[in-house]
Amino acid sequence: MNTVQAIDYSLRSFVEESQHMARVMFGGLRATPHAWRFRRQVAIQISRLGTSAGWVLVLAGLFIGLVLAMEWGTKLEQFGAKLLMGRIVTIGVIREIGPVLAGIMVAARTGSMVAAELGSMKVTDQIDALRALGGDPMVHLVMPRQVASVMTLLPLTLFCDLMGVIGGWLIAISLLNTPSTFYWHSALDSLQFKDLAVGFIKPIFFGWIIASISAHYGLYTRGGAAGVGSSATRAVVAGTLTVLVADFILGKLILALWG
Amino acid sequence: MEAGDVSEMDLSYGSGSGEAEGKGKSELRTLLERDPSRAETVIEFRDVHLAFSREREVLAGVDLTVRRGETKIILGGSGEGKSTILRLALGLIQPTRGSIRLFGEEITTLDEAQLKPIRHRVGMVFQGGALFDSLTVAENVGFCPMENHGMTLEQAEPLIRRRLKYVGLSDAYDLMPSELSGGMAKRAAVARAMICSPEVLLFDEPTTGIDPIGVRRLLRLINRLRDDFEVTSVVVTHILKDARFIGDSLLVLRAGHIVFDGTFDELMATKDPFLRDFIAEQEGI
Repeated sequence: MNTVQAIDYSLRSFVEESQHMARVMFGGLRATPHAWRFRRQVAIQISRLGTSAGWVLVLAGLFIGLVLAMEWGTKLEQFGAKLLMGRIVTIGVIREIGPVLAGIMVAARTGSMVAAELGSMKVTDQIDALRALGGDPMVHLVMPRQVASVMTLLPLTLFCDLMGVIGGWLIAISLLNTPSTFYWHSALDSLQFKDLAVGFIKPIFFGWIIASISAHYGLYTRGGAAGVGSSATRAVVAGTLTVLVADFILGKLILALWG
Repeated sequence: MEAGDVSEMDLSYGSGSGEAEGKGKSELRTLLERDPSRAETVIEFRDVHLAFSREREVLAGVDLTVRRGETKIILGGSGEGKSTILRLALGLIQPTRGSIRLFGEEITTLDEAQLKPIRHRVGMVFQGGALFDSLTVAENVGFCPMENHGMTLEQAEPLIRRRLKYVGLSDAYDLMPSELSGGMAKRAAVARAMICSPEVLLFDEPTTGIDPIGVRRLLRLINRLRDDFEVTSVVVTHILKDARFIGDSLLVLRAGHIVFDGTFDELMATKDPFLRDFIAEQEGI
């Protein structure tokens, strides 16, 4: 294969894969009205996604809160502004760190699971069997995972946020000798509705994106068991990166609209 | 058909109890044997090409015709494009060029939604069975009536039990696919493929990976389906002995080309060196 042919082949593959990704993202979204009919599958997916990422997120949220409070607390103390710590930790965690951390953890833990599961179905002809029997993979497989991912990521983000704020509080009362009431006043008084809204809009998009990317790589699997492993890895890498890119885009969009 | 209308489904495909066995040749079988060209064409490939990359053409101008009531065998070595033909026939993949007609309708131009009613008339048994891992055998077998006729598992249960009985898996109703042997999984896949009474059944390497007793049982089942329900079958295999046991006619694929299309007697009488070698290899000579 010469260079021109190689470029041509790569471009074609890129276009083909992008089309498949778009079909999965919006095909699943279009099938959302069927969610009630597939409530059992949605519930199964929620239980699997939630249990696989729940404890990891609780711990990750706690330690992020601890580190954030420790770093900022020490710096703010130098300027006599350690009472602002509650505000900084809370807004930082709720608007930014919580949703991104939850997104990355879910992309890593459950993204690989979904891609491997669907990839394994692909290489054992189960996807073709589904189509042959009149079923639609977007309705039966993609949509329940998208819905479950969104429904799971919201409470997981909430837990992550809560643990982050609690982690900040632990550092405030133990290392920085800040009275507990000062921390909570600072944390809650500064919190506005738009901070909460931003913190809960992001997980909706992240959940949808993570499930779509994982499902895309799963359904696009080629080449047997090795292909399944490769799909799972690609789903994690692409899912994690996309969460970060989407966070930037959403952040910019929200700032432009809401300030 | 309305949800729960099991009786209508039964009428369209017999009771599935095997009562029709031994009733003698049907009019369709007699017609096929006397003058095959008069039987209706159900699958037709014309100059079908398929390439997955620039370098590798899997099918290079395939022509084939499958007539109603016939059991057509597609024979050939591994990687010759046999299974690809079945996938093309069902519209699961699209050819690079050429025409594929199913029940007289060109399917290469149809989208998934348009293909659905045509696919409903065809059942396919995949190589490994391809039962859905997360569903029980009953849910697998009942997938078609539940998905396409809005039936619940309870409504479809009598039909599912009858089909499982027909394939000799009466006790497998509540089992998971992981609890079945290879042969049982294949028979469950046959029950799933036949539950909505398709006119055509496609079998992809039905005997691969099964013990000799299981192979015999499965081949007999394919013959019973033809005799009891006049199902048109296309069977992909690489084993000549199996092909002979179930087939009316066969075609041999080599490197994406059909190198033989005819009856078993014609194959045995051929002077083509490749086919002679192929037969000799199959017969262990």
